[in-house]
Amino acid sequence: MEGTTNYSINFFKPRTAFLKENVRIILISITIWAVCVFGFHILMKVIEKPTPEAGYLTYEQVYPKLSAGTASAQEKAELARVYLALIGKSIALQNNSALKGGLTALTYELLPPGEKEAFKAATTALVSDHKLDLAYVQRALGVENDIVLKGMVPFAFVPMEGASLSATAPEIPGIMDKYLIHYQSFLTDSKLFGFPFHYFYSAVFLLALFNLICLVYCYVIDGVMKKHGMESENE
Amino acid sequence: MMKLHAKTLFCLTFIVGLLVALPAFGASGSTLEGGFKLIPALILIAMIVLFITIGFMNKAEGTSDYYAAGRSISSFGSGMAIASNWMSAASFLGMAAIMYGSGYHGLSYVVGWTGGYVLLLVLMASQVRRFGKYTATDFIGDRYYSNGMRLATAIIAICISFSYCVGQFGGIGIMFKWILGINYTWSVIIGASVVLTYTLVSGMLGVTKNQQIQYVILIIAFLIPAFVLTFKFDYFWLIPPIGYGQVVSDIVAGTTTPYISSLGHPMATVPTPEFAMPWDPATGKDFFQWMATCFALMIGTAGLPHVIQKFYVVPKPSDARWSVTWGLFFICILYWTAPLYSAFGKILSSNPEVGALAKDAIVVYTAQLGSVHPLIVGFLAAGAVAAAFSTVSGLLVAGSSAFSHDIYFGVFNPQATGEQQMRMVKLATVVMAIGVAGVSLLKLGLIAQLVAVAFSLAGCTMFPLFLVGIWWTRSNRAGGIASLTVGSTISLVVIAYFIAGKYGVSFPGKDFMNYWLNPWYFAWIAGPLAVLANVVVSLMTAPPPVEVQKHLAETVHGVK
Repeated sequence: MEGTTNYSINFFKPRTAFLKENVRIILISITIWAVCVFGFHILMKVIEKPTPEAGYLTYEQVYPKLSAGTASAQEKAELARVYLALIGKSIALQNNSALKGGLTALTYELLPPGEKEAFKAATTALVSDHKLDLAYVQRALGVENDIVLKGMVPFAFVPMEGASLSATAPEIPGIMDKYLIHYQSFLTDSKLFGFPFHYFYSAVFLLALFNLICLVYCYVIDGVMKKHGMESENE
Repeated sequence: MMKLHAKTLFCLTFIVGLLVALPAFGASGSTLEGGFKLIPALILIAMIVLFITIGFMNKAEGTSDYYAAGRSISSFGSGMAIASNWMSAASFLGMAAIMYGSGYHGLSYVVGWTGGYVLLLVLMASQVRRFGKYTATDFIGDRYYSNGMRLATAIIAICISFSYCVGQFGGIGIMFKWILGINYTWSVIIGASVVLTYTLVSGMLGVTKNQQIQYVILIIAFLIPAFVLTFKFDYFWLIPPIGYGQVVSDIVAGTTTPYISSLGHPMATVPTPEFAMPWDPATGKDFFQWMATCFALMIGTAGLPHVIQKFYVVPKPSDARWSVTWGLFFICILYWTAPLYSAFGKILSSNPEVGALAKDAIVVYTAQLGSVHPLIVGFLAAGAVAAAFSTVSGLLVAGSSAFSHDIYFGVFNPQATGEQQMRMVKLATVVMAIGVAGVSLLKLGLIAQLVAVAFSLAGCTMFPLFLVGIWWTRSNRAGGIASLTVGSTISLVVIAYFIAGKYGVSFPGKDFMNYWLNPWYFAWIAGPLAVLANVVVSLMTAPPPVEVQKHLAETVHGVK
């Protein structure tokens, strides 16, 4: 360090009054910034709890009975609606053959004997037109008055002919765990301006905070510069 | 003043002319995909002509004028230029796309791309301005007193521009596909040709002043559909970035509304909490990935050469600080609004009949599905292309200038005349555009993800050099080289794994790399490691020359 000491600049060892003040302001700004961004998300992670959707509770109750062959028709219809709602969640699930196969098998079981063959034939026709929109299927599933689930019915089945479909396919529990359990806490469940609170915090508040930090920093540092006679108008 | 009035008059005449003339074509552009759409095509052409015309009206007179706009820009104007420069296809299209596909994980991009400005402001803005160089490469070359470092960072700056451009070309391709109704490959080829012509025509014009006007037009194009959507579907429309909050809650709980989309489907959805819940298993993204992406984008933002360069266009260091503050505010106007498109897009496209939509075009599809007037949708789509154009143009010029000035002139041909250098700039622009178009045809990822590679690259190469170089006089050339070696080696390994993975080649430790050192966020660890390498190697070797320390202490930090 010989001969260079006078020019030494070290963020962690500021040696002039101006640098000390400057570093202090920087540290305060970065601390607020870091705590609000990363601290908040760490807090969310710490307090979160796996929270199942209502459909998952239905699945937990009915699925074991279905596997054991003891589920009632009403329970089967409830589970079928859970499958149907899942298919409505995303394109990936609309293309999930295990889930759609499970729903097809479950629907087949729910239909009265006189309609089973017609349903089977209708699903076979899916190969060509990819849609199945039958009033008796909506009725069997109990969705004829549900505008959202009714809209899913034409896209929810796979051809039965020659396929081995099961309402309890081994992939289904994994799908249920993945799509029907969410990590929630009071931060995600409370509302602000219509938003889930955490969403508002990240999408709106944090951006406003960044602006505020910058604004305050600029005002404060301008004052510090003036106080220490730095950054004259001619600079 | 007269010049300003002439410009204002020109812009007003242009906008009024557009509004008067275009209703004649109001019937076209009513399908999500498909044929040629006249209105967006006309608006796009008009917008590009306007930008070029304004560029000619503010033509740069010399090198200083070109690089730094004669250091005559106010902090307000410079902030607007920073925002315009920043508002690329990634902001305009990519952010809504990633939130549409990955829910809350997408907000790590929003927070990362804005939070980085705080780092930039408090740690670097005024110090970089006081250092007194025109480009990031010059800063590093002088601070680390090494032409080798200057050359290496010039190459890295080109790589950053290149990978940033790949995402932009993807956006241009998708929008050209939408406007022209042709396939993606031809869209990229045509889009690349148009943007190359635009760059060669406008590249040497008055960039900064031009960008201020671009900002105003682009932000209007982005905001109008947001007001229309919230008003039309009966949400709080006076402040759309607040009004869409209820849409998010409706998606979480599931909803049925009395409205129908332009395709005739009810605006309704099953409960979809995964859209808003943090690191939801359904999105395939976890807590670590949220944090790593956010942090990598933040340090990348603070290390992007073309952003840092903006601080040289203001007269005083205090203006550099205020220009960041204004720039962030103008950027946030767009970033507060972008999630609105993903939320409305989610609910309006929830009917299975809509099918799979190209996520990167969801902003435009949302406006279409919401039955927003075709004129406004056209304006929005043209705005997206124009945003990509202005960014690509700036990046191609920055990359080719770095090649011509720092590599060709600086290393291979120091006797090159100005004319030869200019020829080299044009040649490099063409080569770079062809290369970028070729890579973007591979469809390696979403726009925001591809741009994130550039941020990680900047975050583990440029940012550590600036950070340590400004705040520690003891940092020397050997430390700088070590820092750059660590950052660029990790970058190369990550990119090699990524490309190999895309072509089905499996390297050892592939899963480890894909998770911990993913190309979208590898700077989360590579950046700190590069800082550490700089510190350790600097301490093990001789201090930098006194004049370097003196300049840093006296000029940059005001120590007398």
